[in-house]
Amino acid sequence: MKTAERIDTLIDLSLNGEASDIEMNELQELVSSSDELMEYYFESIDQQLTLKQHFEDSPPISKNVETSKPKKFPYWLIISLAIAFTVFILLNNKNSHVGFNGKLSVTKESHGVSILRNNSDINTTVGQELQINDLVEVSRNGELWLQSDEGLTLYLHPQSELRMEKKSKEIFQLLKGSLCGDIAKPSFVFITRDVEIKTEKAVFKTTIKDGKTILSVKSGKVKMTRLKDGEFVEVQEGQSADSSNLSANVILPEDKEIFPALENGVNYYYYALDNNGLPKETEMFDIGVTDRIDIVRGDHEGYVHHRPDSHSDVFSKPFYIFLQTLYKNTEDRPVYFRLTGRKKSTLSINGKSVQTSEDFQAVNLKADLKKGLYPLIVETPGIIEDDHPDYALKVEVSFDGKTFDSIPDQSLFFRNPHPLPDQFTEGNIDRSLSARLPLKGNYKDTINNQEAAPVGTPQFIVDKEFGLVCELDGKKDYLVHLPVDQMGMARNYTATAWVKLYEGGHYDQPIFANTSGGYNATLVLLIRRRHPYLAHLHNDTVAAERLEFGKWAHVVFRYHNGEQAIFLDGKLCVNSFHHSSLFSNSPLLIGLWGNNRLLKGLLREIRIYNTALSPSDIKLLYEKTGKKKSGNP
Amino acid sequence: MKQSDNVNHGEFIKLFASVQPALHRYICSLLPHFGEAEDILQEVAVTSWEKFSTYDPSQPFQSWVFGIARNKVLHSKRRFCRTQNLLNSAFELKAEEYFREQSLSFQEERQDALNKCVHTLDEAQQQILHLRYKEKLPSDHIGAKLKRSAEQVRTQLCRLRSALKTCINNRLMGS
Repeated sequence: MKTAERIDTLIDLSLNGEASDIEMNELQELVSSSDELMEYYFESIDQQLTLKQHFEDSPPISKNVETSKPKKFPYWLIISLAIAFTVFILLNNKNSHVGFNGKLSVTKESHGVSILRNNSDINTTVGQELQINDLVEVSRNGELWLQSDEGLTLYLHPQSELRMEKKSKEIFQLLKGSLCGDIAKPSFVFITRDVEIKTEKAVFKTTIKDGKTILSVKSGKVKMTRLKDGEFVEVQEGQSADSSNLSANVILPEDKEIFPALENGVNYYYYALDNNGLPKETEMFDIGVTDRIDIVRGDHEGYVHHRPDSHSDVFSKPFYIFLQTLYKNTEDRPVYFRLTGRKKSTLSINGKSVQTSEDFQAVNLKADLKKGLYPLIVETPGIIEDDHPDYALKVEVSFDGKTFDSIPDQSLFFRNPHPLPDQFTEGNIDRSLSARLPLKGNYKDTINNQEAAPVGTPQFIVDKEFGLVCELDGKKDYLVHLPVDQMGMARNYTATAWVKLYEGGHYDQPIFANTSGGYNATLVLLIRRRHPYLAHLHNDTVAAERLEFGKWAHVVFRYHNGEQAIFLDGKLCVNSFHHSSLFSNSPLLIGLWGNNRLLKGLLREIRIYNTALSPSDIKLLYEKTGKKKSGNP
Repeated sequence: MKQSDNVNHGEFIKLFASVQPALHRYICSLLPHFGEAEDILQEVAVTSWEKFSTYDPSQPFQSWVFGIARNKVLHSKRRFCRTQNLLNSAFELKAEEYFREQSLSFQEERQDALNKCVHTLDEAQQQILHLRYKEKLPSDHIGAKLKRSAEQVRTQLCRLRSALKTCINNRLMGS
């Protein structure tokens, strides 16, 4: 029975992590093709686990395989139920060290990772071995799996760095971020963030219970909860757990926390919808982390949607959004949640749920919460452009059940460990400027002492709010300026302008562009169908907010280490990750992209910074450059 | 810990232990990856313990805990990031039906039968199973140790599983 053999082999590959996507799809198709094969699949899974348990409980084959006896049902597994990952942590001052013997190699496909060896990037393909002095960096949305030849498996979290070192044995030093480890069977989970640990060896996991973050410890000395001999032994925070067989000593500084196994911020998952309008779990097309739960932006049918594989796609199907985060309650008290959804949406917290009907019905949910962290889940179908409201759904909180407000950032458990530093010390918004064209009666770049070259007949007109500004006719007018790389746009940058759109122009209203240079080499900073839009070609981010015709708007396009962000009038609209920087040395075009996409409207105060400005910088920039004749932005 | 917690805890352990093998298989059928299925199993254990006070004893414990497992798998980030989704909802139901009714004694009988059947294999055959299931080596590493191709290793593993399946079934039917 060839098909059955094939299924058996595919299951084996899958269970051991060796199956490719194609093989997984093949398995899915085979198993789905008949009830008989489906049953065969279940039988084979059953057998594989029976085999695994048999051999895991057997002694090494070199001693005497034939004397191995199977144990009864493996109650040892119960012992490990609450333990998630395990890790050896050797500490040196504030940095974590992990020691191991043997080689450490990249396993599984990794993304957003760079390995620096002798100051040069090397490949991070599967099988790449790390060497002493290698520096490994994982970007904000990257991930990396490493494995040693002795079975140590490590997962390096986003925004982490480690360096290989040689001491008494090979170790790596965790310079920043966090990692998970798996060194024993069954797999254990370990997660720490911002935790200072003095230990040689610890086996534990973090969970959330009754709002408290709990450290469950298999062995070692900690100040929270531990698991011993198959029983959950709960030790309140502040008490020491018994240390019977290990030398771990985990100390939490007063101002530090152990973070549970959830990314900082709001995890989002986008699913396609099935014919019944329900999420089609087999078709999830985007996943990531954002810092807000109340407003879902930039997700419109028919618009370019960024995907995790760094390519973009025009997403034209209905979709479903699943948001998951941790709500941080700062004191023991009931909290009222209010959910307002454009479509039928659901909010769940602490085991309670509430659902809206369609059309912005607001529903309330009272949750009696103690101080601590609570998983908060919100689900909603995506909205389409025609539905476009200010938000797809909104979650607000109240402590008296009357006055509701947005959930504050700190309650969404969002913490950016490496926020962008503010550049504008003492209010100096000219710091890091690489180009500035005020466009107040001339085309002079006050930073480079050079004028942009006008094409067509741009006019300077007197605007009632800002005085002299530049008018482009949408037919033949645009400006040509210095090569984009000379202004720092081939790396991190912030490009800003004040713009007022006229009606009747092309659906693409370019602000900044260059001559097309192919993928990742074409700058496309424009307003598409009135939505701010940032691309390096095939690397697109679009904001949900729209500009109004005849109204000034301050638009900021920012690129920072793979992140694209768009700000409108001083506020962040959208950001997305895994984007390539721009590779181009062609001149900057202002008001033109392609052959026939020209800006029809007014421009003023163009500023390009060769660095990524912080949100507070951008807010300040909006306020300072937006002072109108009336004195207010 | 309070006395009542101790009682509840003992009850929970007893109930969970009785369904754990079937639960593990169920999760594995939805998420066919040893490591990730074990992670989910652990999460299910923690969640079911935490929610045990909400469990209605008049309902089957299996159904309750399988429901938790189904949701854990459904919302598992690992499932979406690192493995393909294998089963649809109809499939999930069939998987649940298949594994939910498996008793602990049934698993123990199978383990005993497997033990006897493994002993009927020669040393080389046991070694390849050992390398796969004990050492958890990828097939190409096993091939390198045994001087065979990865494909040959996979084929032999498949044949051995088939032989063991027949042997186990014969023994169970005989008993």
